[in-house]
Amino acid sequence: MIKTPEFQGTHLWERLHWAKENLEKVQSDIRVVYEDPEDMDNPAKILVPDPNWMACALQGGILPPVEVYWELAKDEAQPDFEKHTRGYLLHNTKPVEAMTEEQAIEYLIRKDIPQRVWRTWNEGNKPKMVICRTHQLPEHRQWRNAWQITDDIELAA
Amino acid sequence: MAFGNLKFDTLTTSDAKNTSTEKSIDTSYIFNGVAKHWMSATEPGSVGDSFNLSSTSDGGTGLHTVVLINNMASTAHAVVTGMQDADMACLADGSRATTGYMVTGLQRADSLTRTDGDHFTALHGDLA
Repeated sequence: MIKTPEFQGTHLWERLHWAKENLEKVQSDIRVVYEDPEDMDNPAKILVPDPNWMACALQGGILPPVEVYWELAKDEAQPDFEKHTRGYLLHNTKPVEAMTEEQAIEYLIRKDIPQRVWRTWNEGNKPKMVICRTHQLPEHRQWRNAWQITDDIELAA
Repeated sequence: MAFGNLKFDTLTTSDAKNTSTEKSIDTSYIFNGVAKHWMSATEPGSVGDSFNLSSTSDGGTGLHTVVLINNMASTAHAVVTGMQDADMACLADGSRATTGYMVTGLQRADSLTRTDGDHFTALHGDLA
Protein backbone atom coordinates (compact mmCIF):
# COMPACT_ATOMS: atom_id res chain seq x y z
CA MET A 1 0.00 0.00 0.00
CA ILE A 2 1.28 3.45 -0.87
CA LYS A 3 2.31 5.57 2.09
CA THR A 4 0.32 8.72 2.76
CA PRO A 5 2.52 11.83 2.93
CA GLU A 6 2.47 13.87 6.12
CA PHE A 7 -0.55 15.97 5.33
CA GLN A 8 -1.23 17.96 8.49
CA GLY A 9 -1.05 21.60 7.40
CA THR A 10 -1.60 20.77 3.72
CA HIS A 11 -4.78 22.18 2.20
CA LEU A 12 -7.42 19.46 2.19
CA TRP A 13 -8.16 20.11 -1.49
CA GLU A 14 -4.52 19.37 -2.35
CA ARG A 15 -4.75 16.13 -0.39
CA LEU A 16 -7.74 15.15 -2.53
CA HIS A 17 -5.65 15.73 -5.64
CA TRP A 18 -3.01 13.37 -4.25
CA ALA A 19 -5.67 10.79 -3.44
CA LYS A 20 -7.22 11.05 -6.90
CA GLU A 21 -3.86 10.37 -8.51
CA ASN A 22 -2.66 7.64 -6.18
CA LEU A 23 -5.62 5.69 -4.77
CA GLU A 24 -8.00 3.26 -6.43
CA LYS A 25 -11.70 3.99 -5.94
CA VAL A 26 -13.49 1.73 -3.46
CA GLN A 27 -17.13 1.09 -4.30
CA SER A 28 -18.84 0.18 -1.06
CA ASP A 29 -22.12 -1.71 -1.13
CA ILE A 30 -23.07 -0.38 2.30
CA ARG A 31 -25.99 2.05 2.32
CA VAL A 32 -27.54 4.08 5.13
CA VAL A 33 -31.30 4.47 4.99
CA TYR A 34 -32.66 7.26 7.16
CA GLU A 35 -35.77 9.29 7.81
CA ASP A 36 -35.47 12.89 8.88
CA PRO A 37 -37.96 13.77 11.66
CA GLU A 38 -38.10 17.31 10.25
CA ASP A 39 -38.99 16.01 6.81
CA MET A 40 -41.48 13.22 7.44
CA ASP A 41 -43.59 14.01 4.38
CA ASN A 42 -40.79 12.82 2.14
CA PRO A 43 -39.58 9.25 1.60
CA ALA A 44 -36.63 7.63 3.32
CA LYS A 45 -33.27 8.87 2.09
CA ILE A 46 -30.40 6.63 1.10
CA LEU A 47 -26.85 7.74 1.82
CA VAL A 48 -24.32 6.52 -0.74
CA PRO A 49 -20.60 6.81 0.09
CA ASP A 50 -18.45 8.24 -2.67
CA PRO A 51 -15.83 5.72 -3.91
CA ASN A 52 -13.00 8.27 -3.92
CA TRP A 53 -13.91 9.37 -0.40
CA MET A 54 -14.00 5.74 0.75
CA ALA A 55 -10.50 5.24 -0.67
CA CYS A 56 -9.30 8.22 1.40
CA ALA A 57 -10.98 6.88 4.53
CA LEU A 58 -9.41 3.43 4.18
CA GLN A 59 -6.00 4.91 3.35
CA GLY A 60 -5.82 7.16 6.40
CA GLY A 61 -3.92 10.40 6.96
CA ILE A 62 -6.07 12.42 4.52
CA LEU A 63 -9.45 13.30 6.02
CA PRO A 64 -9.90 15.69 8.95
CA PRO A 65 -11.63 14.53 12.13
CA VAL A 66 -15.42 14.69 11.85
CA GLU A 67 -15.55 17.18 14.74
CA VAL A 68 -13.98 19.77 12.41
CA TYR A 69 -17.07 19.64 10.21
CA TRP A 70 -19.28 20.11 13.26
CA GLU A 71 -17.35 23.26 14.18
CA LEU A 72 -17.83 24.66 10.68
CA ALA A 73 -21.52 23.72 10.81
CA LYS A 74 -21.86 25.71 14.04
CA ASP A 75 -20.36 28.73 12.31
CA GLU A 76 -22.67 28.37 9.33
CA ALA A 77 -25.70 28.13 11.61
CA GLN A 78 -25.07 31.62 12.97
CA PRO A 79 -27.64 34.13 11.70
CA ASP A 80 -24.95 36.57 10.56
CA PHE A 81 -22.87 33.94 8.76
CA GLU A 82 -21.44 35.10 5.46
CA LYS A 83 -18.21 33.24 4.94
CA HIS A 84 -16.12 30.62 6.76
CA THR A 85 -13.22 32.12 8.67
CA ARG A 86 -12.10 28.86 10.29
CA GLY A 87 -11.46 26.83 7.15
CA TYR A 88 -7.96 26.26 8.52
CA LEU A 89 -9.48 23.64 10.80
CA LEU A 90 -9.92 21.42 7.75
CA HIS A 91 -6.30 21.81 6.77
CA ASN A 92 -4.37 22.14 10.02
CA THR A 93 -6.06 19.59 12.26
CA LYS A 94 -4.28 16.23 12.44
CA PRO A 95 -5.92 13.91 9.87
CA VAL A 96 -7.64 10.74 11.04
CA GLU A 97 -5.88 7.39 10.81
CA ALA A 98 -6.93 4.61 8.44
CA MET A 99 -10.44 3.29 9.06
CA THR A 100 -12.16 0.01 8.30
CA GLU A 101 -15.11 0.20 5.92
CA GLU A 102 -17.51 -0.01 8.88
CA GLN A 103 -15.69 2.77 10.75
CA ALA A 104 -15.73 4.88 7.60
CA ILE A 105 -19.50 4.51 7.34
CA GLU A 106 -19.88 5.56 10.98
CA TYR A 107 -17.73 8.62 10.26
CA LEU A 108 -19.81 9.42 7.19
CA ILE A 109 -23.06 9.12 9.13
CA ARG A 110 -21.77 11.62 11.68
CA LYS A 111 -20.54 13.92 8.92
CA ASP A 112 -23.28 13.84 6.27
CA ILE A 113 -26.51 12.88 8.03
CA PRO A 114 -28.24 15.47 10.22
CA GLN A 115 -27.39 15.06 13.90
CA ARG A 116 -31.09 15.05 14.78
CA VAL A 117 -31.29 11.73 12.93
CA TRP A 118 -28.27 9.79 14.15
CA ARG A 119 -28.09 11.09 17.73
CA THR A 120 -31.57 9.65 18.45
CA TRP A 121 -31.68 7.00 15.75
CA ASN A 122 -33.24 4.37 18.00
CA GLU A 123 -35.71 6.55 19.92
CA GLY A 124 -39.39 6.60 19.04
CA ASN A 125 -41.69 4.00 17.53
CA LYS A 126 -39.15 2.72 15.05
CA PRO A 127 -35.51 3.32 14.10
CA LYS A 128 -34.86 6.49 12.12
CA MET A 129 -31.76 5.01 10.52
CA VAL A 130 -30.71 1.58 9.23
CA ILE A 131 -27.36 0.47 7.81
CA CYS A 132 -27.77 -2.16 5.13
CA ARG A 133 -26.31 -3.63 1.94
CA THR A 134 -27.46 -2.68 -1.53
CA HIS A 135 -29.11 -6.07 -2.08
CA GLN A 136 -31.40 -5.34 0.89
CA LEU A 137 -32.92 -2.32 -0.85
CA PRO A 138 -35.89 -2.73 -3.21
CA GLU A 139 -34.81 -4.00 -6.64
CA HIS A 140 -36.65 -1.35 -8.63
CA ARG A 141 -37.58 2.26 -8.05
CA GLN A 142 -41.15 2.21 -9.31
CA TRP A 143 -42.51 3.25 -5.90
CA ARG A 144 -39.39 5.12 -4.79
CA ASN A 145 -41.31 8.04 -3.32
CA ALA A 146 -43.15 5.67 -0.96
CA TRP A 147 -40.05 4.06 0.53
CA GLN A 148 -40.03 4.08 4.34
CA ILE A 149 -38.24 2.20 7.08
CA THR A 150 -40.65 -0.54 8.03
CA ASP A 151 -42.27 -0.45 11.49
CA ASP A 152 -41.38 -4.06 12.32
CA ILE A 153 -37.76 -4.06 11.20
CA GLU A 154 -35.52 -6.53 13.02
CA LEU A 155 -32.21 -4.97 14.00
CA ALA A 156 -29.00 -6.95 14.23
CA ALA A 157 -27.30 -6.85 17.61
CA MET B 1 12.13 10.03 -11.95
CA ALA B 2 10.49 12.19 -9.35
CA PHE B 3 8.88 15.51 -10.13
CA GLY B 4 9.16 18.50 -7.89
CA ASN B 5 7.13 21.64 -7.36
CA LEU B 6 7.32 24.66 -9.59
CA LYS B 7 6.30 27.74 -7.65
CA PHE B 8 5.42 30.88 -9.53
CA ASP B 9 2.86 33.65 -9.29
CA THR B 10 2.48 34.68 -12.91
CA LEU B 11 2.34 32.76 -16.18
CA THR B 12 3.31 34.81 -19.22
CA THR B 13 3.22 34.07 -22.94
CA SER B 14 4.81 36.10 -25.72
CA ASP B 15 1.87 35.08 -27.93
CA ALA B 16 4.34 35.30 -30.82
CA LYS B 17 2.23 33.21 -33.21
CA ASN B 18 -0.85 35.38 -32.93
CA THR B 19 -0.53 38.92 -31.70
CA SER B 20 3.07 39.15 -30.50
CA THR B 21 1.63 40.93 -27.53
CA GLU B 22 2.70 39.54 -24.21
CA LYS B 23 -0.13 38.16 -22.11
CA SER B 24 0.03 37.24 -18.45
CA ILE B 25 -2.21 35.42 -16.04
CA ASP B 26 -1.91 35.24 -12.29
CA THR B 27 -1.72 31.64 -11.04
CA SER B 28 -4.15 32.47 -8.25
CA TYR B 29 -6.62 33.35 -11.01
CA ILE B 30 -6.17 29.84 -12.41
CA PHE B 31 -6.70 28.29 -8.96
CA ASN B 32 -9.75 30.43 -8.27
CA GLY B 33 -11.28 29.61 -11.64
CA VAL B 34 -11.11 25.83 -11.67
CA ALA B 35 -14.02 23.66 -10.55
CA LYS B 36 -13.65 22.78 -6.87
CA HIS B 37 -15.85 19.71 -7.19
CA TRP B 38 -17.42 17.57 -9.89
CA MET B 39 -19.55 14.46 -9.99
CA SER B 40 -20.80 12.01 -12.60
CA ALA B 41 -23.67 9.91 -11.30
CA THR B 42 -24.87 7.39 -13.84
CA GLU B 43 -27.53 5.65 -11.78
CA PRO B 44 -29.75 6.75 -8.93
CA GLY B 45 -27.99 6.12 -5.66
CA SER B 46 -24.53 5.62 -7.12
CA VAL B 47 -21.52 7.69 -8.06
CA GLY B 48 -19.53 6.86 -11.18
CA ASP B 49 -16.67 9.23 -10.50
CA SER B 50 -16.14 12.48 -8.70
CA PHE B 51 -13.80 14.93 -7.06
CA ASN B 52 -14.24 16.50 -3.61
CA LEU B 53 -17.35 14.48 -2.76
CA SER B 54 -18.00 12.48 0.40
CA SER B 55 -21.52 11.20 -0.28
CA THR B 56 -24.76 11.64 -2.09
CA SER B 57 -28.13 10.99 -0.54
CA ASP B 58 -30.88 9.67 -2.77
CA GLY B 59 -33.89 11.58 -1.45
CA GLY B 60 -36.54 10.10 -3.76
CA THR B 61 -37.20 10.20 -7.47
CA GLY B 62 -34.94 12.79 -9.05
CA LEU B 63 -33.59 14.24 -5.80
CA HIS B 64 -29.97 13.98 -4.69
CA THR B 65 -28.14 15.74 -1.89
CA VAL B 66 -24.45 16.21 -2.56
CA VAL B 67 -22.00 16.63 0.33
CA LEU B 68 -18.43 17.87 -0.13
CA ILE B 69 -15.23 16.83 1.63
CA ASN B 70 -13.69 20.32 1.48
CA ASN B 71 -16.43 22.82 2.32
CA MET B 72 -16.87 25.92 0.24
CA ALA B 73 -16.10 29.24 1.88
CA SER B 74 -19.64 30.57 1.50
CA THR B 75 -22.99 29.60 0.07
CA ALA B 76 -22.36 31.95 -2.85
CA HIS B 77 -20.96 29.21 -5.04
CA ALA B 78 -22.03 28.28 -8.55
CA VAL B 79 -23.28 24.80 -9.40
CA VAL B 80 -23.37 23.75 -13.05
CA THR B 81 -25.70 20.83 -13.77
CA GLY B 82 -26.50 18.58 -16.68
CA MET B 83 -28.56 15.52 -17.46
CA GLN B 84 -29.09 12.97 -20.18
CA ASP B 85 -31.10 13.57 -23.39
CA ALA B 86 -33.98 16.00 -22.97
CA ASP B 87 -34.04 15.70 -19.21
CA MET B 88 -32.62 18.52 -17.18
CA ALA B 89 -30.97 18.82 -13.80
CA CYS B 90 -31.46 21.85 -11.60
CA LEU B 91 -30.33 23.09 -8.26
CA ALA B 92 -33.13 22.31 -5.80
CA ASP B 93 -34.65 25.39 -4.24
CA GLY B 94 -32.85 26.82 -1.21
CA SER B 95 -30.45 23.90 -0.95
CA ARG B 96 -27.08 25.62 -1.15
CA ALA B 97 -24.82 25.27 1.88
CA THR B 98 -21.07 25.44 2.28
CA THR B 99 -21.21 21.67 2.72
CA GLY B 100 -22.86 21.06 -0.66
CA TYR B 101 -26.12 21.32 -2.52
CA MET B 102 -29.17 19.40 -3.71
CA VAL B 103 -29.79 18.64 -7.35
CA THR B 104 -33.11 17.62 -8.86
CA GLY B 105 -33.60 15.83 -12.17
CA LEU B 106 -36.59 16.87 -14.23
CA GLN B 107 -38.31 15.18 -17.15
CA ARG B 108 -39.93 17.29 -19.82
CA ALA B 109 -43.35 16.36 -21.11
CA ASP B 110 -46.29 18.77 -20.97
CA SER B 111 -44.98 19.76 -17.59
CA LEU B 112 -41.85 19.04 -15.59
CA THR B 113 -41.81 16.01 -13.32
CA ARG B 114 -38.98 14.67 -11.23
CA THR B 115 -37.07 11.80 -12.75
CA ASP B 116 -34.04 9.60 -12.12
CA GLY B 117 -31.19 9.34 -14.58
CA ASP B 118 -27.59 10.17 -15.40
CA HIS B 119 -26.74 13.54 -13.95
CA PHE B 120 -23.56 15.57 -13.87
CA THR B 121 -22.50 18.53 -11.81
CA ALA B 122 -19.55 20.81 -11.23
CA LEU B 123 -19.07 23.48 -8.62
CA HIS B 124 -17.16 26.74 -8.83
CA GLY B 125 -16.36 29.17 -6.06
CA ASP B 126 -13.98 29.72 -3.17
CA LEU B 127 -12.96 26.91 -0.85
CA ALA B 128 -13.03 27.19 2.93
